[in-house]
Amino acid sequence: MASDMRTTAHEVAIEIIGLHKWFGSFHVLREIDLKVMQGERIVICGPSGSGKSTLLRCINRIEDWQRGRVIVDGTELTNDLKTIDEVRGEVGMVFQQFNLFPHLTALENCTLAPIWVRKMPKSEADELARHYLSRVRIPEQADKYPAQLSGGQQQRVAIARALCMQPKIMLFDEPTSALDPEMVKEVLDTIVGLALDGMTMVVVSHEMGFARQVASRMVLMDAGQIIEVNEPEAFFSHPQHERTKLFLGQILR
Amino acid sequence: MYGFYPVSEQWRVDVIYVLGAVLLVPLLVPSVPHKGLTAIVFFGAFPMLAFFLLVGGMFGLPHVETGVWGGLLVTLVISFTGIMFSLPLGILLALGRRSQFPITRTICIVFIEFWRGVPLITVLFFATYMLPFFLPSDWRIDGLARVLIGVVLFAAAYMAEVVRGGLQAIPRSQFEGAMALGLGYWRMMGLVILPQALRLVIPGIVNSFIALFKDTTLVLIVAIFDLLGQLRAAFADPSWATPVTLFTGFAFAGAIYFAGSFGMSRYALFMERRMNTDRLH
Repeated sequence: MASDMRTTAHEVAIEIIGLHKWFGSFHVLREIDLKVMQGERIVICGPSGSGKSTLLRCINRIEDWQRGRVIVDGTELTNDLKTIDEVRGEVGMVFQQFNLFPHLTALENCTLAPIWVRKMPKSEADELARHYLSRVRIPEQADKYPAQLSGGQQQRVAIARALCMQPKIMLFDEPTSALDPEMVKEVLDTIVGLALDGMTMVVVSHEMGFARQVASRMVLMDAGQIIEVNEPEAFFSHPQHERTKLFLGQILR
Repeated sequence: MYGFYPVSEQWRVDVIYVLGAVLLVPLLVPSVPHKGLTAIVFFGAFPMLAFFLLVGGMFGLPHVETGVWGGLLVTLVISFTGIMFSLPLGILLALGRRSQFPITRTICIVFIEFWRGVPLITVLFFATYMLPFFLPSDWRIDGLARVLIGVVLFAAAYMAEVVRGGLQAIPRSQFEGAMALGLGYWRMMGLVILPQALRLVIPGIVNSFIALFKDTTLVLIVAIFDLLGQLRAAFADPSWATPVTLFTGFAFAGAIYFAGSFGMSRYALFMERRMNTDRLH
């Protein structure tokens, strides 16, 4: 699947049009418009509470919204549960807190969705899971439970679990924020590897070195709005907006 | 053991006892393989076989009225039926109570609160003496069956609240993790949420099972002779009368209830430990 992605690199993967969301009376997302092409790697950054994670979670409708449209891989997300589950099958998500299932082994975490959603025979799903666990470089941990693994290993299992559905798009919600510093690199290296293979991805991250390395476009959000969208080179060296300069000044020191 | 079950047909009860015991052992011992198959036989085929064999009336077996059933048989039939149906029904009610659909939620809340608000004795009385007045006279439901349904619904309401406690202990992140994989509601619940939630509430579930097992003695007041009722009937029997019958009789019945309850509680503890050492969290 990764190979035909490169050949169709100019199709739209995600389109977000005029998206608004309120949590009660709090306006979290204001008029968000964003188009992501296939094979693009978008890194979203911004201060905490700016709505980055919420925006990401709207893409597979883990959060719903009050106004606007989200179209993923040509399918518009509506209230129809079947459509939502179909889109979720095409969109892998990796969470800040890993969200692995503690009662299942690493391998079972990976094979659960292929077996039950894709109706794959168990032997085939096992093979697939072992393939992706090797790819994130922890094939030897397959039979351990999440609690027996380090944070970095758990996050890599979570990445393998998402990949086992062979998604067209991957969403990463601050994948390294909950990790000890020495484990950040192993997880980022895994994501860079995916990026090199041409996976379409949207990443919420504060790791600016990583963003510079993988991003095809950078997005800065503040107070529920997209402030700036730019090529990484320009984003870091000549930001267009004061808000971007301020933010980069704060986090790059 | 048999109550007033006709002596010539008592072999049928024996067959059920032996078959039940033979099936129960491989189901409870973790190292015996083919758990799924054993469970299907024990919870599916065995109750059906027990029903036909005990009730009779077909395949050349004479019909035996449930009115003459008695003793340990009745205690076990009520407990087993109660346990077997109240857990799945309780799970459905707990899920319904947390449903996002207002109608489902309201129905489940009303059901649970109604059955929890009524004493079991009232339920039994109603099922036995009142219900027939409200039903058309040609609508004859067996007395024991009515009691069984009452017990199951009563126990399910309690079970629902126990299970709901477990569901509430599962963090939102687990739901989100499952949703993000596109599992859908039933697979998310069945594969991810319930296995964790039920494990958390094993003590509560077993608590309900034990309470149910002992509450079966209440059927005595609606003239169904369970173990305890049979015992009291035996006191009146001159051929059993000795100065110590009263004492030994109650002590024996007490010992049976204790063995059942204590057995369940130890087994639950054993299962909890086993699951914890497996999972390390």
